[in-house]
Amino acid sequence: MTYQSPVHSLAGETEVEFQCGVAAGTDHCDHEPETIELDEPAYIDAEGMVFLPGRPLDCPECGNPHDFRFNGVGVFFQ
Amino acid sequence: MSCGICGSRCRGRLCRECELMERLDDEHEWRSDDVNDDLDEEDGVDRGDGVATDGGEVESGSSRGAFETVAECLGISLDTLYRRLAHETPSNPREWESPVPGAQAAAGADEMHVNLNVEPTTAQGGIGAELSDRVNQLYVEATTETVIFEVAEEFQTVSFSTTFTPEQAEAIGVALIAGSKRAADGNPGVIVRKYNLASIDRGEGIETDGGRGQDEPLKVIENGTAYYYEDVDEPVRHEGRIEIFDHYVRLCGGPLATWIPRENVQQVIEG
Repeated sequence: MTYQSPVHSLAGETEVEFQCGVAAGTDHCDHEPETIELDEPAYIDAEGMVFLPGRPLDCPECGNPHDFRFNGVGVFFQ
Repeated sequence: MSCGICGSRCRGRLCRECELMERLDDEHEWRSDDVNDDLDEEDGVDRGDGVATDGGEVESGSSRGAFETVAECLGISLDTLYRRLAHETPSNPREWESPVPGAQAAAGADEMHVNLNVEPTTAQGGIGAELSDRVNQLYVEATTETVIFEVAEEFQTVSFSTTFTPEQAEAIGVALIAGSKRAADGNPGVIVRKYNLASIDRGEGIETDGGRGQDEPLKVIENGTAYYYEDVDEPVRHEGRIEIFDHYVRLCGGPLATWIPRENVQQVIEG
C-alpha cells in the first residue's frame, strides 16, 4: 500500500472545515474552525496541488492570507 | 484559473497583485471625486467626473510641505513636530494589543495599507490615518498638541475604541511621518502606501518592540510538499522539511538547502 498525502482526502469535498493556520498554531488569532461550502468540489491536480474553488482568501479574524487548515490539513498558499 | 487582468495563474477572479491594484485605483478615483466635489462647492462650477482641475491656489499651496504648514500653524519647529509625533504617546494606555501586527507577522503577510490624509488647515493641525488590511480597519488620529492616538477597530459589525500601546503608537507615528514626508513632496496631501507594522523600519533612535527574530522561520514543516516555479511554467515539487520565512522558503533534505523566494512558491502542503 503506497503512502498518500492527507491532502488527497480533500478531493471531491464540497464542504470542508476551515481554520486560520495562525489560529491553529499560535495565539495571535482567535479564529475558530468553521464549515465552509466550496463553489465546486475540491480537486487535486496532476502535480499534487490542491485546489479549493471558492475558499476564503484570508482569515476573517486576522486577515492572514497564506496559512490555512482544511479538514485539519495544513496548506500554505502563495 | 487565471487572473482576469494579467492572465497569471490564480485561485480567484483576479490575482492578488491585480486585486490590490484595482482597490488602489478605486480608492484614488473616490478621492479624486471628493476633491472635485469640494472644488465644485467652492466655486459653484460643476467639473463633472473625470475632469481634471487646472491647479490654481489649491495646488500652488500644496507645493509647501503639509507638515511644514502644520508646524507653522502651531508655532513650533518641524523637528519638534516630528519628535512629538514619534515619541509622545498616551501616558496610561489601556492594556490592549491589536491582533493585527502579531497575526500578520505570524502569517508572513505584507499587506498592511496606510492611507494617510494630512490636513494642515485644521485649527490645531490634525493628522489622521486609516490603516487597513483586508479585514481590519484601524483609524488613527493625532493632534499635534497632545499627540493622542485614537484607534477604532472594526471587525465586520463589531467596533470599539481603544488606544495603542506605546510601541505600536511609535510604529504608527513613524509610519505617519514617513508617509507625510512623501505627501509633502508635491502631493496635495493624500497618499497610499503599504506598510507591515510588524516589521516596520521605525527609523533611527527608535527601538523595535522585540518579537520574533528575523532569523527564525515563521513555520517549520517537518514533512511537507512544496510546489514552486523556477524559469519554466511547470511547477517543481519538493518533499521533505520545509521552513517558511518572511520572504523565502527554505527547502531542506538534499546536500544543500534551497532558498526559494516566497512569490515563486505556489503552495505548501503539510503531511
